[in-house]
Amino acid sequence: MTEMVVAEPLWKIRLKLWVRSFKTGWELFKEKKLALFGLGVIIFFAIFGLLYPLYPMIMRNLFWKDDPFGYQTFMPYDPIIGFDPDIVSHPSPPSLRHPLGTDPLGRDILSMIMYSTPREFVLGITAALITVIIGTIIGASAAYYGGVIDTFFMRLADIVMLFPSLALLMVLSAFMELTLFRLALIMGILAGFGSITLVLKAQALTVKVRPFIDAAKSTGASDAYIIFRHIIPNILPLSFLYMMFNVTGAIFTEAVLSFLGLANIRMSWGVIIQMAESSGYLMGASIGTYWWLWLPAGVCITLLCSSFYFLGRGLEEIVNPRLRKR
Amino acid sequence: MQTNDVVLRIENLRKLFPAERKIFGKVKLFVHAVDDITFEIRRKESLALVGESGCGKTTTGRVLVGLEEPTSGRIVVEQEDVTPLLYEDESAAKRYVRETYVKRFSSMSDQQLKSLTGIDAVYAQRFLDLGKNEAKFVDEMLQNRRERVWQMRRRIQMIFQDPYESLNPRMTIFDIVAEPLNIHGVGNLKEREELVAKMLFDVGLTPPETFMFRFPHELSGGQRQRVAIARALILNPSFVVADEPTSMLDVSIRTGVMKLMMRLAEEHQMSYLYITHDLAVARYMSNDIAVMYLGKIVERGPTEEVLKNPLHPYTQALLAAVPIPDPEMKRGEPNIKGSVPRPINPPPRCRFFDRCPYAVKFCEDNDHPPLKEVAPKHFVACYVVAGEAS
Repeated sequence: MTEMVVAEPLWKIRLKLWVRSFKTGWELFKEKKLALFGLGVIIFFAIFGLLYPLYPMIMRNLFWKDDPFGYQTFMPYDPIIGFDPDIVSHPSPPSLRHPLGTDPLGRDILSMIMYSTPREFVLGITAALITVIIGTIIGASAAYYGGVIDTFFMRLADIVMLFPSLALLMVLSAFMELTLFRLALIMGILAGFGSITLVLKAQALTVKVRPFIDAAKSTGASDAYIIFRHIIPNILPLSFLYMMFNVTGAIFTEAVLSFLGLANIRMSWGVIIQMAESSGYLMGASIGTYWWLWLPAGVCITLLCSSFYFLGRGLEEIVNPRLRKR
Repeated sequence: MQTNDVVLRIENLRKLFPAERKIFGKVKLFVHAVDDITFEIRRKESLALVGESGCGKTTTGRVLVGLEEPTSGRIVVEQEDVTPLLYEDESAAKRYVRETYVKRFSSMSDQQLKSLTGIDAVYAQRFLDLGKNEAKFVDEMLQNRRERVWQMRRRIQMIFQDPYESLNPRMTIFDIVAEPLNIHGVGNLKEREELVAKMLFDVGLTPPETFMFRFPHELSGGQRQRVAIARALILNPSFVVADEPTSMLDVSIRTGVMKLMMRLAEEHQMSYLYITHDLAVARYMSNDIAVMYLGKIVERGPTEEVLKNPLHPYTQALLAAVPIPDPEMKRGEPNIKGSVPRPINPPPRCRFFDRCPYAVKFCEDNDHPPLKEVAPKHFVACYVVAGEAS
């Protein structure tokens, strides 16, 4: 009976199992057109953002071949300090030199948008990751231990939910420089102690009463073992789903804060719109005339936020079989 | 096979659940889930705990595996009092030792202490060896508590009723079966793999490597219950609490699982506490049977004897309710009336009084009858049957 030992190493089998469950998930996911659209948009933006370093190089070869000195001095495709001296008045409408036009300071809008894209991703995903890690651990422990711990974190969640987080961020912006990373951290922590704990705790409660928890306990498993090996794996799909929704929230909040000029972020989609607003181009008839100042950035925010949301909704149906139409 | 080697002995076990929640003041209403039950199980033999739902049979099992703390009573596993290990709180364990041993022993003379029998004798001797030093005795009873709790968990395992719920859907069969090894740190990965493969082979999931890396939802009910059995047996326990392991299974595979459990008991030298509501299953699986009603054992004895010659009116009613495979048979009215009363603070009379066809005035005036030996090894808790009232 000794030759019955499994031939393959364990990690290989686990990897195979993982790939298999991924495949079945993908089969379901494929049928959700909106979710596929969301995934497509996210991939597009990821590539779009990664291509940023190429953009100035291409433009330089196309338009600045005979003026390398001017390109060196003015850096017309730098998203923060760039300026195009050859154009008489800024902002200039979209042209071949500047596919999305320039802003009132003479910076190239397309390069600003491209430059911001990876930062939006980092911000959204960092914030959402922090949220989900906090929410999952606290939700699972609150459900498992109950009692005082449960009451404390649930009331805390109520308070955080009631608290206007935007107002808090505004106040915080007076105290400290809200850099991109700090903003992500604060938003992650705020959201982590908020509604997501309630949702994940409710889910964890349904896991907690199932007999396999008793089975583990009767074998002598410690509390930490039960929480991390039994409860969290069972609520993880749901927390992953909420991560998707939180990315949306984080990007959106950042845009709002930047638009209000409260965040200390040098460049982001919100900053682009804020630039247009603060220099008076969003007032009255100008809003239609100078559309390139706000429309591209606005479309990007809307598209990326909604695509994460759609992706989340698509995943929701995989994670939660009750939502499946069969 | 008849040996006198007692694996498990439960004495006066009682488990009360508070039926109301009060922040101030004492809780007065209790659900008497398990109320003063006593039984013992010998090695390689099994006891079936029979009764309708809500009679406390599952609670008894849960106390044994440490999922609930006993309210009072003593549980002895293989000549060791494990009750202090069942309390999560160390002070509760201390209180238990003081109340059960120290209080009693300190008022006895040396002569009396030496004349004690059973498990008491073991501890009385230890008490004497320590020079009747009470603090030292308590300390010794509780020393290495954590480690001993650990050891006890290995010796007593549980098989749960619902194989669809007792396996974590996110773990592979290998992870599930190896979990006890993992928790107790037995062997390295390779050894665990071998142990799990052997165990799966033992419970009839062959070839093991095709089952090891599947998920529970890919298996049938019977296969899942086999996995649950493998999981319970992988640490080689001396005693397994089986909580209706076949009740959720299809009738066609029930006997297969029961036969498997019998064979494993023989091979692994272990005993079952078999909790069931099905008398046919109890008859097949057990040597002894204990019938429970509202937290009390009302009848206990060798299975064949009890089922052939039921003495307690409740046992008789249970047996009369077993379906007979004859459609022409007309079943008479059951001779017990009403339904199970609430087990919250029951009045001090026979628990079965309200429904009993034999009930007389004596039953109402006296407390619940104690178990009395009416035939060899056949105990009944009934004044009328025992001849004390008529």
